[in-house]
Formats: sequence, C-alpha cells, structure tokens
Amino acid sequence: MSWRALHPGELDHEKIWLTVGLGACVLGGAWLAWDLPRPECNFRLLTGWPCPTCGTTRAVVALTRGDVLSALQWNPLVTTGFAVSAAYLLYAAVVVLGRLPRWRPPALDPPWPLTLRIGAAALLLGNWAYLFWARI
Amino acid sequence: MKWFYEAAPGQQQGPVTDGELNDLVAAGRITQTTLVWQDGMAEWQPLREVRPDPMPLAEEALPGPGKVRCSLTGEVIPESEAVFIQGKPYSAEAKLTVLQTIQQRGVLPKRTHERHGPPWEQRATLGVVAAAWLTIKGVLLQPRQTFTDLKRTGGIGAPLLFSILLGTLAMIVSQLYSLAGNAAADELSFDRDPVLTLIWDLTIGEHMSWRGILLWIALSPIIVVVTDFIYSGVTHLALIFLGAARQPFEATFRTNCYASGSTGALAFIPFAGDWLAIPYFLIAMCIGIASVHEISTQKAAVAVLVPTLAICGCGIGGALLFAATSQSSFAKAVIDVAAQ
Repeated sequence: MSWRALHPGELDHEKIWLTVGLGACVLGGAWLAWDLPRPECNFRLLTGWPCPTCGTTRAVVALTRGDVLSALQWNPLVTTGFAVSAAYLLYAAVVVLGRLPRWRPPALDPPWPLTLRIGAAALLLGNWAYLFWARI
Repeated sequence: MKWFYEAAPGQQQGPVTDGELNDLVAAGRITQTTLVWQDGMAEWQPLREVRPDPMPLAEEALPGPGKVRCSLTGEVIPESEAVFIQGKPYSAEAKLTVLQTIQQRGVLPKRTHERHGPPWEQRATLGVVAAAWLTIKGVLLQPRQTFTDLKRTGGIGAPLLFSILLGTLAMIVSQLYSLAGNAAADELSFDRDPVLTLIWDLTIGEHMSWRGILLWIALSPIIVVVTDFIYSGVTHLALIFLGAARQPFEATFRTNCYASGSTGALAFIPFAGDWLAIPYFLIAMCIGIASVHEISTQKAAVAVLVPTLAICGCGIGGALLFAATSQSSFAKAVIDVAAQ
C-alpha cells in the first residue's frame, strides 16, 4: 500500500469521483423526491429473466429508508458496491479537504491479477445466479 | 544507474541504462505506465513516477507482443516485418525515407506521427463552432482516423466541456422534438395502438409534464457529467479486466467524451436521431478505444459492449424504446394527417 502526494499535472481521482458521487446523489435524490418515472428492465421484459443489475432501484429505495437488509436482498452485489463507494467517497472527502497524501494501489505480481479477474467474474455470476434463485 | 522493467505482466527484463530506457520508450517497447525498478527503490513503480521528465513518445502504448512501433510513422507493425536501422524499428514503407535522410543529413529522421487531435482542442485558433463541427464530422465520418490522432493526455476539461455542451443541447433538442410529436398526436386526438401504449407506459410512462421537461433540461449537464464519468469508469474497468488497459483512465475518458458528444449531435435529426445516436456511439467507442489503447477492435468491442449490455442494458433499451415510441407515434400522426 502506498500513500503519496499528487504529482504535478496528475489526475486528481479523489476530487473527480467525489464530485461525480455528489452529482449522482443529487440526481438520485431529485429522481426520488420528484417521483420521476423509474427505469424498467427491458432485459426482463424481453426475456423474462432478471438482468445482472435488476433490483438496483428497489435496493436504492430501501437504502434511503435505512433498510440495509432489504437492500441486500434486492441485489447483494449492487448494495455492497454502494457501501464500498460510500467508503471511498468518505476517504476522498477526507483527503481532498485535508489536502492529505493519496492512496495508490500497488502493482500486483502474478498470479494476483488473474486471481482477481476470476474472483470478480465469479462474484458477478454468483450475484446474477442469486437474482434468478430469489426471483428478483 | 541500471533499470529493470516489466516487459509483460510478470516478465522482468534488464538491466538497462537511462539511455537504453529512452530508446525502449522511443521504440514503443515500454510506456510511461510500465513498471520499473532500480536499486534503492522499495517497490516497482510506473516509469512516469520515477522519471517524470518528458521523454519522446511518452504517451504511446505498448505495441503488444511480437509487434513494434515504427520509429518514423508511429505505426504498429509485426516485429518480423520491421526493418531495424541503427537499432530502431521502421516499417518497410518508411525505410526509403530513413535511408534517404541518413544519406542526405547523416542522422535518423525525426518521427512524423504525433497525436494532435481533435480539432476541439485547437478551438482557440479555429473558433468554437468550427472546432466543434470538425470534431463531430471527424468522429462521425472518419472515426478511426480521428481517434488515431486523438491525444491521450491533455486533461479532462476540454473533452468534458465538449460533451457537456453537445450532450445538453442534444437533450434539449430531443425533448423539443418529443414535445412536438406528442402535441401533434394530442391535436389529432391520436390514440396509440395497444402495443405502442404498452411500450410507452413501460418505458417513460405518461407524457412528461412541462415541469418534468424543465427539470430534465436543468439537470442535463449534471446527467451528462455523471454518465460520462461512470460510463468511462465502467469501460476502463472492463479494459483492466481484459488486460487491455494500455493507457490510463484519462485516455478512456477523453475517448468517451468525444464519442458521446459527437454522436449526441445526431439528436438534431428529427425523431430518428435517438435511433442513430446510440448504435453510432457504441461503434465510435469500439473504434476509439481500439485506436487509443492500441488494442484489437474485437477486444475493444468486448470492453465496450459487455458492460453496456450487462449493466446499462436497461437504460439503453429504455432509450431505444423511447425513441421508437416517439418516432412511431409521430409518424402515425403524420400519416393520419395525410389521410384526412
């Protein structure tokens, strides 16, 4: 793990993703507050099967009510993704506002890159299988 | 001081001197993102972090296994077809020029291929409208050439501005066309057929109110910014997943902004614009990502299309059905008018 100051001209990922995250929160908040039309899953409409992100809207609505368990039931991977994103935004806010050194992940030696790819694919497929099983 | 570098994942080579390291960059065998190490360093680090001094072709991608980059034109060619002159690879087409230059001047010619584009980034000299028009025309009509010329660095401000301006304009125009279509249908007491009604209700619900439309337009710039970053992030993650991310996120983001902004301009085509913009955007992204990361178009297509279908399938499907519905209802209204 390495912490370092930004190099001159280097892209400030923390500032960018903090802004994007806040923008997404504004959009999501406006969407829910004004009760705008919610997206329908056309994949489900056409095939009858859930898509890998089915349940996201319902998970978001559950999260806004503080009902984490229901959110996890609607889509465990997306809900976990939201939790990880929230943690990253918190970190980004702290380092941007505090002008602190940034975390940059170290380069991974084999076999870790392949292991991580297989792990990520397994997570995606596992989550999708759950959506079928739970009839989301 | 001797350097070691990672020629391919897990393949460490060296030692090489500073000068040899420069030659490797110039030949396109390593890039500024290649991991390097020398005595005294705690861990392997990207070249740009330990040697931030500008070097020729600093932004070029690794040509790939068995391939080299022509030192004159920048073209990536199979190593077996390269002609090596003074240790530098050249394509067969460049050989004559190189030999003539050596004969006339006694030195190797300077590289001719540099990425300069797109025209939008020269708007200070071209003018905003001309620069935007040339960029749109380039992406829509000559995508490979345009993205081959696209600078991979240069910041995210200019491409983001391009995307925000054209994306917001596209959303406003699209809403105006939709309003016109709905108004025409209402004026004629137009009843949609059951299938269209179902599609309409399932995708956008009832006609959007004025308040909804104004809100949508007001939020458009934020929508464009958020979707640009998220879509670029997802695409870049897919590239990393495929082991095809040969350039940093900045390059993927720049490609996405110019592709989305330019294809968004298709929204000016009444009612058919949305139909065209989405597939055109995906095609432009596949070509752009392949050109910018210097990977095969097939690999770029997987990186662009799989997450799009898997994650954004709902949104894109909805947009297509929205386009289909507004176009069909308007077309039917026009036919009814003609029949009267």
